[in-house]
Amino acid sequence: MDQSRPVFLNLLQMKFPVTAISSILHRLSGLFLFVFLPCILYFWQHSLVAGRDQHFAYHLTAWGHLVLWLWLSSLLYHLLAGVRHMIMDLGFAEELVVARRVATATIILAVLCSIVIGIVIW
Amino acid sequence: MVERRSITQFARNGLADWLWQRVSALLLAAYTIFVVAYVALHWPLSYSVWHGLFAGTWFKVCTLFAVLSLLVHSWIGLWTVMTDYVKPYALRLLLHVLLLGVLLLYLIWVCAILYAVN
Repeated sequence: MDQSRPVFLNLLQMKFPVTAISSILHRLSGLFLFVFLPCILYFWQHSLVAGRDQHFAYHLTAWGHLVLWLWLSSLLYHLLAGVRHMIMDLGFAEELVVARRVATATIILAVLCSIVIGIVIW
Repeated sequence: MVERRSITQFARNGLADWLWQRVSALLLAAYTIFVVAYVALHWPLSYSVWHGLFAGTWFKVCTLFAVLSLLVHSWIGLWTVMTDYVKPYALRLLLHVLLLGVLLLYLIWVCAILYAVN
């Protein structure tokens, strides 16, 4: 293989279709879920400590609220994009126009639901 | 089936990984939707309702089942990501081993949390 061939990897200069954005968000949300899983396990553990008589989120700091909101939003996005994956596994939404619409719908739906999650947590 | 295969991937081939990923995803989705629905139906949530959910043996079993699904699902997903981005073999092997350790620690941690709930 010719090692002197030009390489173009400047992500900031590439134009990405919405399906690519949807896909990388799926990967990024999965990574985020994994990295912050110990935080969520910690919150969960402390929400079950006996003696608390309030909604456990009251005991979270502002950073805690932020982490919880981001984590739940990532979970929701990851779930919806996963559903999109499985719809495509079944053979639907593989054509270009439909695929783009489904990807856009996934992102919009996830954003709306993450707003709801934010309201609920606060 | 293949002459050389990875010793760190979860299942015997990529197709089996594909299936395990979907199965674990469906199980995790079912668990997540259940918890969300439970919280929504009991809104505003009180401590006793939240604690009561995790006090039942049946739900503890389901939770551990979901955690095992999470282990499989995150192993396959993160194995794929690391294989994509971490090209040096020794570093990747080290990361895989650390990942496995961390996942097993989560499993034990969840067992400890559920054991303390009565």
